[in-house]
Amino acid sequence: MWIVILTTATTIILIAAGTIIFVKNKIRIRRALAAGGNSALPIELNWTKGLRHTITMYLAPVIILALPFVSGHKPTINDFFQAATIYLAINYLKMIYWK
Amino acid sequence: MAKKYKSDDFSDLMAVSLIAVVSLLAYNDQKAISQTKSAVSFIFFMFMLMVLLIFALILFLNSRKSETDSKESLRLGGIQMVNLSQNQALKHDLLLYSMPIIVLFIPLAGGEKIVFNDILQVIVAFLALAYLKIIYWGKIF
Repeated sequence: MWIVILTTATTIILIAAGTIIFVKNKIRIRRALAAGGNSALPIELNWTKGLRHTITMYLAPVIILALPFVSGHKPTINDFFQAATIYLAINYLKMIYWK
Repeated sequence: MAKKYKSDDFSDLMAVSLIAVVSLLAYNDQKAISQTKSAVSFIFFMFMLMVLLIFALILFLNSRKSETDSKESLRLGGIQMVNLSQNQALKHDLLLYSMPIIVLFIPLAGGEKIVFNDILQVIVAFLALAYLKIIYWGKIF
């Protein structure tokens, strides 16, 4: 029963926070467009950022796949799909920032 | 004949003592030779894994150290000033809050129940995406 409560609470928190942040981003975009441009801040894309991004991209799926071992289970096809999802999300972010 | 460096002696010594330690750890006269061989290969595999992890850690720490050193970055040929746009922040935030929910509900789609592991996996997914947000924007919100 407590896992249902935990799942519901996690989902509600994520959806609420996501909605708030989405609205905030929309307001920022509208203000930036009104001010003339959409660029937010200049940053320096160097190889260290790329390296950290790549390490995260490959380490996060590994941790997700390894977590069942910690609690004494074996990974199933669901864990594989979870790892694949997060890998694809981070890869998409790499595409966003590095073109 | 190749020139022999002083450090060669040291690395020879290290290699020999490594093999000795591994063999000592794996040696057991109750076991058959094939079992001992498999134990040696297993320990070597674990050792190589450990070395790889340490190497990755050293690379990671070095990257953080030289990040403050702009000369170093220039020498390695890679400063590229880019204007991030708010659209990128919007996409990143959408992923940051929607991916954990998808990860959480994948077991239900596969016909299994959600267990505590899935909550931990959600936390890992959220932290990874939040870390990337900190890398590029310096803030989560």
